[in-house]
Amino acid sequence: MTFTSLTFICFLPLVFALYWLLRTPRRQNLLLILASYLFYGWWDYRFCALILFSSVLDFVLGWYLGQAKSKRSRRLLLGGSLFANLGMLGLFKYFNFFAESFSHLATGFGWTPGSVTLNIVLPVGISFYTFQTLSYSIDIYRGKIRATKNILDYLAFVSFFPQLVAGPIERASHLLPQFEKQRCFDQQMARSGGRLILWGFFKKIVIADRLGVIVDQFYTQPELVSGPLLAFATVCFAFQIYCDFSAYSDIAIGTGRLFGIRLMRNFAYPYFSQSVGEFWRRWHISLSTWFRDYVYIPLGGSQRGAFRRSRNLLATFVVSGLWHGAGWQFLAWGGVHGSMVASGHGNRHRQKKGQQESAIRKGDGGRDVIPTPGGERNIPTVKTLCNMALTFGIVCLCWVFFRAANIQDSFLIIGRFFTDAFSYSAWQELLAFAGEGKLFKRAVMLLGFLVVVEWIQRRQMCPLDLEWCPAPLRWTLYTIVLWGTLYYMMPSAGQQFIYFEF
Amino acid sequence: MTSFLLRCSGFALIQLVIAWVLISKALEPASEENAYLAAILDKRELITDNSQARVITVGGSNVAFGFDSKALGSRLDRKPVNFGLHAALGMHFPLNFVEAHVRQGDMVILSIEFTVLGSAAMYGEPAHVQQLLGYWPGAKPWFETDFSWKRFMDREALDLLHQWVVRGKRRLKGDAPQVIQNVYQRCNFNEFGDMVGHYGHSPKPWQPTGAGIQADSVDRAILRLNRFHEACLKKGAKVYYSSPPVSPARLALLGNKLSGLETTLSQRMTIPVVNTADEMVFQKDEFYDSQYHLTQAAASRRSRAVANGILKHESQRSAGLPKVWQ
Repeated sequence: MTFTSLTFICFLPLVFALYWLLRTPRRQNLLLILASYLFYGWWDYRFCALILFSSVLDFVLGWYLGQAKSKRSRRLLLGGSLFANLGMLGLFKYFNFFAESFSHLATGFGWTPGSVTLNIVLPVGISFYTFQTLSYSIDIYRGKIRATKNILDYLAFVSFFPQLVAGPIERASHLLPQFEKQRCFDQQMARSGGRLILWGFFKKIVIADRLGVIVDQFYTQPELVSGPLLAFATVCFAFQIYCDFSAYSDIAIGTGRLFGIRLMRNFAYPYFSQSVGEFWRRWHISLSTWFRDYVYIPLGGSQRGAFRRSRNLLATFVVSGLWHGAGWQFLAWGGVHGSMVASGHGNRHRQKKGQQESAIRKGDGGRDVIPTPGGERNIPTVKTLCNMALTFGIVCLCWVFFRAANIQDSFLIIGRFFTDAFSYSAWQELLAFAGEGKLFKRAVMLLGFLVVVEWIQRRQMCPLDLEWCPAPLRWTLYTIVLWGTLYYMMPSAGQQFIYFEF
Repeated sequence: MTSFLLRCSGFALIQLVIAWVLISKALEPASEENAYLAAILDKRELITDNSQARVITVGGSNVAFGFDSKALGSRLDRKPVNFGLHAALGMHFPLNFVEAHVRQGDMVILSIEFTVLGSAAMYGEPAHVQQLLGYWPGAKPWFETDFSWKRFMDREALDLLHQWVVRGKRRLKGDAPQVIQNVYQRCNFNEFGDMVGHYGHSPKPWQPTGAGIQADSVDRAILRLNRFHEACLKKGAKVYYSSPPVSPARLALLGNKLSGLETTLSQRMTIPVVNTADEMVFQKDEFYDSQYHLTQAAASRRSRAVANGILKHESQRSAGLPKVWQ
């Protein structure tokens, strides 16, 4: 079931009403599990077996991990969890990629192995819930959390439908306790959830889907498109993927809040970042912090000198690239980001600003506090603007790897950016596209609108957080956003959220 | 909780009132609009008039944009009628309507979009069907449905709502004649039903897609096409099938799916195929703004090719060669 469907629009109020009628955590969790499996099985009922298997296995291993005293048995149990989860992920997501890559490599050496590929469908969201269950086992092993004894709580934690398919990837230490305790309805929280859902719908249906049309148009056959047009399509893709993915997170977080569950923030205005390092503290935060805690730090983190730190960063980002997709272009995407962060670009700004301004700090109760992007000034300084533009440019270049069909196309597109930069006829093509229809004008208007609104409201988690506004004005605004979304939606776009593929 | 529910109910009530106003406006019948789909009224007149010995081209917008009916008619020595409008109206609607109005001596050329032949789109997309019914409420019996609640709720409902909102808002503004910058207007069809508004305009960028051919849907489509053929033969009309135009890029994207579709058609469809996809390849700059819409020059070339295909078929048939050939 996808969020942007009438099915979900009917499903949500129904589950919401039943949930608050039930009152006890046990019954509420049971309802959430049933609703979540229905939500997930809506794509393909067979997927439910997979998630149930993964959940039960980690619950059992986690329980034994909690009981085990010897280091050896604990390691064995953790190894079992890692093997099962990563094995499942590897089978469904990476087997064909590695088999084909091996085949190509072998052919290069003059040996022609038989083709061994599996004709299997990638289960939606497998990368997300696998990482969530993995974090549970690892945290028990590290002694950070205690294994839960209640399988209902655990199943609800793994399958909680708002974040099941595309995150935020939650940690057991944050989410599981929320399923264990009594939940009280919090009106403020529910209202903020509603606003997040509305803003998410707007971003996905109006902005992301519309920009997707332009991106698809030019990225399908990049060899026929000029550099400036490809650059414009890349900027559109940067915002398409941001609006698409952050919209999913907003709807997920908003839906969670309606059930009294707080999910972690996943995006914090990443395109206002002033360095690639800061970008990664604001983009897909739940995944970045997952890799930080479970890959980068275990590799040694920033200990033992600059070389090891750079190596660890690079390795972490390459693995992150691989997580996004089984393809060389994703590895390149991760590698370039890793290199940028490792080369120090990510820290220059922090160092100059006393390592405070853009870093995530611990606030009350140990919760992460994300500072305002671009500083506190309403009108940014020229330097801030230049930093943001430079960072955005680098991130856009990296997005080429992410969006292109393959690594060859990525290099072709990037090559076009530079070879066509001074070509008059290439710019003429862009001008012709700009002049010939609504598509360009609407895209530019939407991007301008989004950037301005997000800049003004960047101190809030959601741009629709307008508590200072009188209620009638607020309601009018929400009504405009709602009907504007329906009016400007791309009919028959029927586009899935991009991150479902991962 | 009570306060929250009251607020929600209040907000929902406001939205329901707005929805009611927009949807009721949207569902009011409208006949005089200059919208693209309103051209169905003119095409209906062309099909139901009393002319004899017509050549009727049937399909979606590949037919509307893709034929020079005058040239086709003169080559085949018949009065041309272009009954192509939009692929989103599906296959059943035009087939049912033409089947009811075809007469002895008529010739029907079918050119159904690949995606319509090979998917649930053969029944039409609700949003477009609803829009057409707004202009011509009497068209309802000509549509067939393959309604699926799941598909409707998952995909089609929001599209339908969007259509209603757009139309409702436009009508609230006084149903003023639309100032449409593009060619998609009823007034841009000529007297034979060809779209000519784009003649003389430069082609626009468009993107080929390769999705949408499903084997089980093709089977159902073939059964319907064969029934259509049989009904037309009983009325003394001939039917031919010609592939929609295709660009080299799309041909590459569709690949085996398209060749599989054509093989199935040639083996199981009783209607003679006069042009395969390979013979209907047009270069990218011969398409106006989408993978089905041809420019004027390309439409003329296609019309000649189709007419030649039919004449060749007729001469071979009279010489006693098999009815169906590829």
